[in-house]
Amino acid sequence: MELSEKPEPRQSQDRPSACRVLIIGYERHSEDSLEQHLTSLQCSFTHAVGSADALRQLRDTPFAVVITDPETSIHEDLALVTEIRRVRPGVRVIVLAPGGTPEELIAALRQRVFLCQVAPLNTREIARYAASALEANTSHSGIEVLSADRDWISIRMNSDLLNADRLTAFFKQFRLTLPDRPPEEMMIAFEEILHNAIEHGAQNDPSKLLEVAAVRTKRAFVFYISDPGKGFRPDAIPHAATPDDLTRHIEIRNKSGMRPGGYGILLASGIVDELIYSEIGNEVLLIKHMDDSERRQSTFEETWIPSSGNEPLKC
Amino acid sequence: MSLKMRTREANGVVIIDLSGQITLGEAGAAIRDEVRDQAGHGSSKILLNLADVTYIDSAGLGELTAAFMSVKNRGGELKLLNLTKRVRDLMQITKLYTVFDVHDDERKAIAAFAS
Repeated sequence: MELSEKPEPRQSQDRPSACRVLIIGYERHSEDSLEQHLTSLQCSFTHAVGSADALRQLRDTPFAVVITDPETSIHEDLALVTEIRRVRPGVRVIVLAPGGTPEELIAALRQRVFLCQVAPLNTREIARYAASALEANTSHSGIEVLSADRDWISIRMNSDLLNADRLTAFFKQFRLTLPDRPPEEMMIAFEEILHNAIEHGAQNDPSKLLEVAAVRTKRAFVFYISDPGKGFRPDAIPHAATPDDLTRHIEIRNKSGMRPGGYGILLASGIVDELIYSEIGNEVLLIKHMDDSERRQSTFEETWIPSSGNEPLKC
Repeated sequence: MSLKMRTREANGVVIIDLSGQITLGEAGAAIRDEVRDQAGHGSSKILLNLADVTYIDSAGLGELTAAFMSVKNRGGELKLLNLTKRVRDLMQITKLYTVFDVHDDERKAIAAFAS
């Protein structure tokens, strides 16, 4: 990544400032820069050379999204977030940092930052999140930490796919900070079942709340998801694929006007060791046993992370 | 949209090059529309090139299978080309590789339609 020699604040395309992203730190010029990806997503942005300049610009201009300097720590950034919220309470902040501990990531989640990412950063993904943050509905609080330490995190969230995406991004980052990390594919299972809870349990209604917990024991990693729906019987859902028939449900979904799909439970159950639904079916446990070999090596490589398709940004 | 498509033709086979993410939302619908459009114009041999698909979820798998079923029900064939590791892994977990005819070589994939 190249740094500009003169870090002069610059404004991109003409757009109302309320739709703008404020990027703290030097402007990058490489093809894989955050600026380049934001431009390709038609997001307009402005630079601030540091925290003081960012606060000064925020006092003058109602930016919708702030992206922190990747060279400052999460601790510094969260102090800045407090200052930013005094000036602009509704602004969504994406925290970028050179590294982070589980406790720092939890602190960022508690402080309701939109996203917290540590190096190596994927600029394409961060730009995608910034674009989502610009369009995000601010009428719902999003993700609330009920209780959290590194072994047990309990969350309440408004049920929408963006929150699911943000929470999955958090757990992906959190996982990487753990010495005995659960396999990467566990995040795929989690995201699939979370999507099901949003779509089928909460009927895609963002005013409805989901509860999520992640628990790490000595021998297992567990996700718990609870939705406000009526529940279902996992063995009696004609619109989902079964191991015995992978395509029959496609016709059923088509006739019922449902979008193509129905592989979420099959996929999740193929990844975790146990997928246990409650009697009603609106609560589910995903359990991955963690024996020594699994702790050392995941079944899949880190390339499973969608954000890994690009060159990492070294901070 | 996070998915880009480019359609070309070789030896009577319509090849749709997909690039980006196939996930819940617009991307899946775009594939559905393109395949339906091609089949509606009489194309019965469709090859989906997934070489540049960086991410897929269960909804994306559903779109691929729905496209396969749609073409098959019209008497045509839909094959897959160049699965990335992620797509291949998800196909293995769900065993969907038993449904699709998958190729790693475009020339051989095209030849497979003729046979």
